[in-house]
Amino acid sequence: MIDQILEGISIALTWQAISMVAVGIFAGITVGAIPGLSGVMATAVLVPFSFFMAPTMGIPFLLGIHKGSLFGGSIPAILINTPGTPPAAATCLDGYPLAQKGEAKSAIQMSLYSSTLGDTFSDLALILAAIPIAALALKFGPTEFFGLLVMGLTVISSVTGTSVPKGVISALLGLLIGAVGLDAITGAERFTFGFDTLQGGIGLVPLLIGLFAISEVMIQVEKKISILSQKPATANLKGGRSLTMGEFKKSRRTILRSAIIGTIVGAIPGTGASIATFIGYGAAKRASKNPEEFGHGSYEGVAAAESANSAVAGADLIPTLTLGIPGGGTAAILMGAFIAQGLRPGPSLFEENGPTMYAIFTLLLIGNPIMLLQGWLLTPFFASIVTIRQALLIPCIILFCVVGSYIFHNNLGDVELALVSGAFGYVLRKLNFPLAPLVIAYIITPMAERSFKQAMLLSDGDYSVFFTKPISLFFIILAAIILVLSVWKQPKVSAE
Amino acid sequence: MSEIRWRYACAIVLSVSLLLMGTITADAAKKFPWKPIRILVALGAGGGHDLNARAAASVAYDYLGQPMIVQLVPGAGGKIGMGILKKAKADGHTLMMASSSHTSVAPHVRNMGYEPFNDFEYIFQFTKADYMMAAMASQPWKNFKQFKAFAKKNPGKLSFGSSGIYGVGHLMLLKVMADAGIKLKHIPFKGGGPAYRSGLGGHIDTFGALPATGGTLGRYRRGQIQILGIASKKRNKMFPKVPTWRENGVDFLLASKRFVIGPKGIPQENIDFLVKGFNKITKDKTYKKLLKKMGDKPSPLFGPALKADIRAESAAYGKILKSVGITKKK
Repeated sequence: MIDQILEGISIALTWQAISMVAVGIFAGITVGAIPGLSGVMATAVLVPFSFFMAPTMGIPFLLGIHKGSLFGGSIPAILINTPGTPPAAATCLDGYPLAQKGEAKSAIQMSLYSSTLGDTFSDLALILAAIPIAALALKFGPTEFFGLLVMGLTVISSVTGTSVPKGVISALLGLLIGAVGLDAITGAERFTFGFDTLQGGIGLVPLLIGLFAISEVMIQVEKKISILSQKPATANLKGGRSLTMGEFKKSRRTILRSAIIGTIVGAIPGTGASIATFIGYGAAKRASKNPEEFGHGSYEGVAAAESANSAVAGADLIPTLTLGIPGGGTAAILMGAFIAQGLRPGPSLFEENGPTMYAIFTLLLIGNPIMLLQGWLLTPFFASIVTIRQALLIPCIILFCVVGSYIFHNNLGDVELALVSGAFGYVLRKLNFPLAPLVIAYIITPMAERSFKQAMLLSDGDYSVFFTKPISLFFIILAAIILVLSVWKQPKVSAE
Repeated sequence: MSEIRWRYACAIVLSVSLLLMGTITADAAKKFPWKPIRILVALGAGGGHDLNARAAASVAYDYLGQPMIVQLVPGAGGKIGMGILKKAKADGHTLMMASSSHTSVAPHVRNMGYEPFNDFEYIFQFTKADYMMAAMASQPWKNFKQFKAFAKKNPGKLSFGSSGIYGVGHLMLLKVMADAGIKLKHIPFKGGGPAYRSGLGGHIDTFGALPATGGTLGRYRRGQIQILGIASKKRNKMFPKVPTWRENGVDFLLASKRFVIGPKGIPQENIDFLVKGFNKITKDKTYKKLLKKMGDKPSPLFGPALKADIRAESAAYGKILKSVGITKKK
């Protein structure tokens, strides 16, 4: 194992790989800094471009986007009181008052430091959590996988949003979409309606681009008016002072607390950065010596929110990579990117791709100082794009959507599929159906179906194997507990 | 909307379209190859074909004078990629790292929209690996004879995990069952890797393996796994004690191959140029090192011999499928 780690580090330490991370982080901060563009959308659109790179470059590139967007979202939150990405909503509470006082620059610095530290903390947690699970890889056969995936499906119960029936319908739609294509065991065509494109199933990339990017574009276009026609005075960094060491030191405990909260919340499938941020912010306010400052320009408040939401970046990947259960939208997209690169998330990921995975982890860690550096040097640039016009952005996004879904398999059919998914996603969003259950069900269904059928073939159709094999029984009991808990206490907050 | 913003937008659109146009240059009458060679792979990323094509592409410039670009066109069991290749311009700039599943198996089972031996040129085989059937050494049976006897006493009890339906492993299973008169449960996986690991974990009884992939040789030497049979004419030098399928009374001789094909009608001199260049690639140090890392070794075959070989393979697969009652659905 040590030699695999060393090989991984040697793969990671090339200027090509490190510059891909830097490009990813730059793109992520940019996207995060522009209100209306979210990290989920950017990742969905850029996944196909990562296919042209080796896994040790393409995946870190995407992870860089994920990281960068979580920090980038705080820039417009502080400058113009508009969160660049949904999780940055809590950053507005204290960041904007600071900007009004003319302290935008130091507020962004506080956000940068706490984001970087929160992210580093959760990356370390991911690495520590992932390695022991690899030891269990061979214990997982079809029966055990099915147990695990049943538990994965119950995760959906926590991302249903405000309306449970709508969440369930969305999950069932995902199940149906996941069933399109050739039957895993018999090779029979299902729901293909004679279209060749559909024989291989509905592609992940066109589906995600459609659901998350094209539908978003449609919603933005519908608004017609762009948010800002005139730059507010606060969107200006000139004359601001830098954060003092004393101010940073006062927030140290807050940053650590939020990092822990973000990591734990992020590791639970079905919760996301938005929830982590509000929990972290609330906890900081309760523990603070000056709770009255919160909401009126507290540096601690900015630190609490940003450390918590960036801590989700690494933790999000814990269930995704070790169990193959994506915890939410972005995690599902990243999981798709792993699969497309031939890295199959799940207990056997490290057994199969040890060096590659250690290289990816190394780059994930290297990304943190890179983010710090970019934040230091380029903040004036990021601040200047905060008020960019939608009219310029939207055509570019559409271009990326079309090109991205085409180059996925060099197939025009996938572009059509992306457009149809876009329209479909638009309708779902307009009717307030959450998208996360759909995507999670879509990803889990084919794997669960295959494992189920394999297990049935092996047991000659005896269903009791799922309860007699200890690992599968463990997951099924866990699934039952999750289900009971979620019915008993329906969470009020929804994941993004 | 301000005038200046519109101008910016127009400028961006214009420059993008100019960029796109710049890439479309006229194919003047130049010496082949006058532009990068596209090598399609109709299978998933990170699989054996993808890695093999990339290994060859990594050194191709030195021998072909143009870069070789790997392009993945998976989906619909190869139908999409093979369709693209069939329609591609037959000048030798578009090729495919093909798989036996697409040339020799799928056309027997499904309507693929192409005729494997009329629509394509068979150019060059890079690698070939003999298929084997493996099992954990801890099983009560220690060779194929004992395995057969055990399977006869317990029909439908033992299982075999394959890389997927109608893959080489599945066909080997069909042939083993037919010729040995036994019945096993077929458990198709998504790729050979997961099947192999399920075997190592003891979840299935037997599974497909290749001599050099997945650490098979090491596991065999350490006494972790046993090999019941190998699909080659002669015994494999790395596994001298493993009998061939013919010795076991099973008439199965097929291998997992990676070979380059192109659309029908490529000028012969271009094919000759490619064969010469590919031959040099198989002797390249870097290429050989990359292959060794994947557990493959070059096994060059070209010209009429290659086409005859694939044709024979296709006929053999067709026969196996027919003998178990699997025929093309219209």
